[in-house]
Amino acid sequence: MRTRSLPALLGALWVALLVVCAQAPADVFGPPARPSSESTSGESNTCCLLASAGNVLLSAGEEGTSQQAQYAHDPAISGNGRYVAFDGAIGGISGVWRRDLQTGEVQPVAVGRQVPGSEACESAHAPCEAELPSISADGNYVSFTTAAPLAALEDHNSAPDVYVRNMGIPVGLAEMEAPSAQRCEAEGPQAVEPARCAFTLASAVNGGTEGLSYEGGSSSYGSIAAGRSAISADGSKVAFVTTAISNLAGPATPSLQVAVRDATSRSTQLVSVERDPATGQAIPGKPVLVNEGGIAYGAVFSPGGGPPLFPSQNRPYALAPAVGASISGDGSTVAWMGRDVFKQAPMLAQENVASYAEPLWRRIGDGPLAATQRITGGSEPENPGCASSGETLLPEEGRSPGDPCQGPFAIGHGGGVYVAQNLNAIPQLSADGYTVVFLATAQLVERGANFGRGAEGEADDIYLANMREHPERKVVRALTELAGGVSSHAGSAPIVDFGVSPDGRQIAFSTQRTAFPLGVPTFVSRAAAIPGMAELFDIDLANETLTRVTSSFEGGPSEHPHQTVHSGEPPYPSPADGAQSPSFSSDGNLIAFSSTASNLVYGDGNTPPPSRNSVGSADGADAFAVERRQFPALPVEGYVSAAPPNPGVTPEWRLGVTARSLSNGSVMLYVTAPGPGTLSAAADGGVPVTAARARRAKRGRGRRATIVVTRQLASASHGVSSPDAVQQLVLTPPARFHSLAERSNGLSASARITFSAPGHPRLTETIALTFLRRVPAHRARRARTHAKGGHRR
Amino acid sequence: MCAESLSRRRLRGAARRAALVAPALATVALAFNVCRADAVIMPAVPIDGPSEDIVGFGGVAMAEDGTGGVVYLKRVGGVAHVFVSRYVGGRFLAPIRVDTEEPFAASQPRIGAGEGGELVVVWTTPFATEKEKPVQELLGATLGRGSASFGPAMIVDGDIREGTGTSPYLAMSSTGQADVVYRVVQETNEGQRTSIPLRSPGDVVEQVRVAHFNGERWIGLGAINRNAGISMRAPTEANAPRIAIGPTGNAIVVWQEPDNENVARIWARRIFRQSVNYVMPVTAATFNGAPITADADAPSVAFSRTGQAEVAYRQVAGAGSPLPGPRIFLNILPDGESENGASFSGAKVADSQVPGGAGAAIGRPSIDIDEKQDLRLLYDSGGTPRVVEGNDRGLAGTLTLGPPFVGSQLSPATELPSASVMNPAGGGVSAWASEDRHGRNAVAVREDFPSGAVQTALVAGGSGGPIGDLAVGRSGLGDGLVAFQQGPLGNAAILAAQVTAPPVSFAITVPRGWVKPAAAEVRWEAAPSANGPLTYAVTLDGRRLPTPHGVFSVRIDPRGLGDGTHPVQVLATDIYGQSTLSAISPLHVAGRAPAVTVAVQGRSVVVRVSDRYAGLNVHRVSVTFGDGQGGSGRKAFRHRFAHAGLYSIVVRSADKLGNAGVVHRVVSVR
Repeated sequence: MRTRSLPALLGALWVALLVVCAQAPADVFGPPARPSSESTSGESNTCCLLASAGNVLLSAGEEGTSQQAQYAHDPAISGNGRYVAFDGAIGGISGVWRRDLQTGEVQPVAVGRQVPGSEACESAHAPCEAELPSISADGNYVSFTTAAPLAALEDHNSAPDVYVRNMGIPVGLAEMEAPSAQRCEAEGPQAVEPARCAFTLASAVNGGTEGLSYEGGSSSYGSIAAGRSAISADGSKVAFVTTAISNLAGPATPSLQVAVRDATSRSTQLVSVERDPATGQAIPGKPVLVNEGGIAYGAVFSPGGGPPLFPSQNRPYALAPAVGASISGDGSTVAWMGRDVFKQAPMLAQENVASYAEPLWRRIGDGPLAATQRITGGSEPENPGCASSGETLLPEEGRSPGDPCQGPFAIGHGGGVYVAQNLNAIPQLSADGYTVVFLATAQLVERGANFGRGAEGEADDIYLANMREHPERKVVRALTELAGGVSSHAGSAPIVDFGVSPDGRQIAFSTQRTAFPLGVPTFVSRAAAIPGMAELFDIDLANETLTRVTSSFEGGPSEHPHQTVHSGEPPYPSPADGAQSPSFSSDGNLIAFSSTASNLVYGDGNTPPPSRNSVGSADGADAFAVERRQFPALPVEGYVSAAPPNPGVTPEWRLGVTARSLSNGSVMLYVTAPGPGTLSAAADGGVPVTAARARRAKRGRGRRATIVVTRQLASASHGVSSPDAVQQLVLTPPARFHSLAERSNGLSASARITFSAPGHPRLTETIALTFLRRVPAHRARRARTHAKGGHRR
Repeated sequence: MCAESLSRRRLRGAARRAALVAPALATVALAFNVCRADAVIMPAVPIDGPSEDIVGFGGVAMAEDGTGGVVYLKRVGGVAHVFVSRYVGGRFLAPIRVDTEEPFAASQPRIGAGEGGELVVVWTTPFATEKEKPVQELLGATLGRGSASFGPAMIVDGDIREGTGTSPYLAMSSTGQADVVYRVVQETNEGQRTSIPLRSPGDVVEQVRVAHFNGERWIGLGAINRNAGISMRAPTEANAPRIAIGPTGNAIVVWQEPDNENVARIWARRIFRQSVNYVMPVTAATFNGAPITADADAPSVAFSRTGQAEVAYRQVAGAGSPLPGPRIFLNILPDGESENGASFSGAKVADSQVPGGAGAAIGRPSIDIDEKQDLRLLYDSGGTPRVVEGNDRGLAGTLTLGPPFVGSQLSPATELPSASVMNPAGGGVSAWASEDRHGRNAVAVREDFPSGAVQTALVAGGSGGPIGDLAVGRSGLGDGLVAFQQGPLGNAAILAAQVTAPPVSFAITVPRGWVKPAAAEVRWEAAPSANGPLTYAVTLDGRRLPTPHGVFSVRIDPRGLGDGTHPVQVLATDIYGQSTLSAISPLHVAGRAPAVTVAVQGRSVVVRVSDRYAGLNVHRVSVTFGDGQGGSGRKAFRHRFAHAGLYSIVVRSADKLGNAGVVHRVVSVR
């Protein structure tokens, strides 16, 4: 047993804090001109000539005792920019750590000793495999995944679980390796917040503190949380994904379900729930499971179909498993790369392929019935035109721009927006949850052919969607574009990892790609001549610029020793070899990331020789932080005056009238009115009547006298709401005029159509028309018979 | 529905005449509930930088179909190379390097644009040394339609000596032909001996050369200056030659060259593809009968589709000059087919309202012309941007545009850049270096619309700082790409702003004469626009009719289409929401049968048949009076019944279109 105290050991360690500069306009990440607390105001910034651009070592911990990590992965920076949590190994102790950027102190979050010469834990219950940390805004709470039962009374299995560490409560290495069976002070009915427990189990049952139980008894499957994006800013909510059948939403809840643990209320909400097609709302507590082709698909995308193993084994120069969910800083929203999408969100009737993968988004803050929404997709069932078309499935090629059911992406049947295996599939959210950044291997319909690379390999691009501005229409913005006409690696190397700033105005991503053909955001850094390691890039949406963040301390590309390759072959075959895991501070002025490069800072000493490149987790990765450089402002008060008015036309105040005689004796009037108002029509015509004097005369003298008088034959009125449609008025004379309308030439009349609208002069149009009624067949026969009989008489 | 009445159009015209264009129209527009275009002048977007590697701006070009590009110099590995950002589909693409195979530093790039995204770029680069001095060549490269990269460099001129003051100027036609004019300074007067006397201090021996690109290769047309035996003024940007080209490949080149009296004048030559025509003087040698003995410089030339050329230049007023001060002159060369096409019509002062007398400061003019021979000339008049408008029949007027010329130029020249292009329907786009109210440099952009409306903008970008150079690429349809360099070397950025114009006015067709409602149809031509695809909307009586996308004719719903004359217009709207309304075409519709009146007077009845629209076809008029009598072939019938009683009168009639009707009236006579 070693006797050195842990604080003494850890205080001597350091994680390289790197500041690099890329040639860029306005704001770039580079050497700090002043302490971050004195950074310039929010005015736009300008770049100065950085003749001394390079990497600067900020701190090395205590003088003379500093020690570099053997490796450091998955860094996450706190919102206040003070702390960086990461997983890695330092001096034979591995797990999750937290570094204070102000003091240089490195504290253990959940660590354990490794067996010397191995990456196995000395203690079976030690969290030396703890990984994938996320950190609250103040840095006090760190979520992570470990199989170690750090809350011994609640965690009864050896499966991986998600924990939250309260850094305000010190815990020694021995306590981590042999957790006490004592309940911590906060665990009881009086507990209202995770304030006093060192370790709080997040993957716990709803309404209690007991950990989830998992079927199968495997130590590799349980619950896992994504790195960087699993915890809310206040540390109270943690999003995680089950990787085993559990009791999350009752017994035998299938695996690969998304849940959010609220530590303050001790509630665990199943987030990935089925959608009620009738109401469009979520069905609370109903998990998602579809068996397809012998594979059980849960709600969450997993590259291999089944849940990923924990811990991630030997992932040098690669990413952690891309399974998990992101929660927004305000805890209101959760996003995940979904499967069984048709069970969770609206799709076309025949789009029922379980393996289809697409990013999903749900505002749990809107209540338990809040629906899961698609962020983008191959189809667009919400389009009113689609709903009325009756279309149930997109064409096979999935690329029909004129189709009202066509969504932004071109996706063939059985495909998905995302099909890659080794990239970060977890969508990232801004603090308010409305800005979503995601990767897609499918191509936008508007881009046409994908240079022949469409569904092959892991050629992906990064996209942004604003769910507030476009909650229904899936409007996505491409932030990168595959390049054609250049060597494939330079133009289409995958984007392996990415992050978005809390304000949604910056997106960082890493790739080996060197060509960025998209004009906006404008790539303003010096392009590397040939593809090398995955470099970190930053998109500043305010300036619409794309800058390369990482560079060597000499200004060149990121590098580490590699085996000799032939000319033209990529020296770093793994696309994830290089920068990974970018995360932003709340103000967006600080990025933390990891990189396997050995030349970002002078004196990086943990790089394995080329021959050991693929052995163990020690790939020479370090966690770095880089500060956003603020340049002096020379803002121009630019303006663009309002565009002049377009020419327009005023509807003429006139009526248009046509008439059509109907066989039933009515007349249909078609009227175009100049605006909203009231239409009325009256038809007058001359009809023979027996005059009153004539009737008296008849009684007295036995003579019949008939005269012709003008009578109103029919009238109608109609309210006009829209002048764009042709209005229809039907004039139907009463039955007493039917006989007149049944004569061979019908009943001629004159119709007067009047249109009135407030504030406008009354319009009148007169039109001649004829009421022409077809004699019913039976009456016609009777009439003919009567006529024949008459002749006989 | 947007509204525009005739009275508003009258008001608009009045406002334009009153030169109170912008505020008046804005007020009028709002009062009449009109539609506002979505965007016209866009904010500047960064093309590249700010960066210490941005070392020069070469220009911008735009073709009639709205494609184009911006060219500039950017260091790669410490060596300046030529980069182009293409403009396709309303956006700038990521810059690509043009001189990919050239190892040495490039300089003085220029760009031309043809339709379909075709681009031609020329630049100078050293290729050898002679007596320990670099010898430069002028190279060109093309990016074909649909291509994503430039082809290999082609030699335009294999020896332009040291490349001093080359100042190439490139003009490209929509058909893919291009001409470049440039200078080759052969000897300097720095202590060197020369066989040509240098008549003024600073003079050089120089050739003005032209090369023609026929779509496939460059053909050198040789030196075109008038007298190879006289020295030329020291090359500056202000006295650099200019060239303009028409769609047929014919061009006109203008340059400065001293005459026999050693007064630098402006000269011009027509170029018929590969054939150079005779020299024509452009400058006025006298003013009010007195000789002008001061140099002229800053030629600017524009060339219409029909071959008419307009040249503007700056005439310095030296001691004893008959001019009250420096002035911009304008001279017109009618097209070669016209009676007066053999020579310029005579230089005239373009704008007499120049304050400051002999000490006035005026900048270099920028001129543009459209196919109707209307011209637009922009220049700096003592810091005030002034536009002169006119045509070959005279100048229509001048206009002070807006915020003054302010700023600094990065090159040694002291003059501030400006550029102007015109809209064939009227107005145009002007851009000049200016500043905001805090004195920070920016580019002022003003678009004058055919309607008389105005939009202005002050655009800047990158890290701010002085405006280096700017140019405006023209589509020929009123659109412009304003591109400029901003920021000092070491932190310069290349920026560009789109300025779009509404679709050009277009013709519509309706049936001539009277038609039945079912035959009412509207056809129209596609409205020329660089910002398509356009959408169209047919209006009838001021009402917008459903108009399917992608059609150029609409058959009007006959229901409710009453008889009479209906005004028909078509509204074309581009992707930015700007609209152009066609002229009104009258649609004459007649769908009803002739009108019949029956009047009874005692035992007489009078029947009259008329048709006020298509006209009555009297041959198809017939009347039966119900008593066995009748008539036909007339407009009016008078009949007297023999006995009192009820009579059924039936009138049959038809108009000239065949609209037939039967009217049945029962009359009672006593």
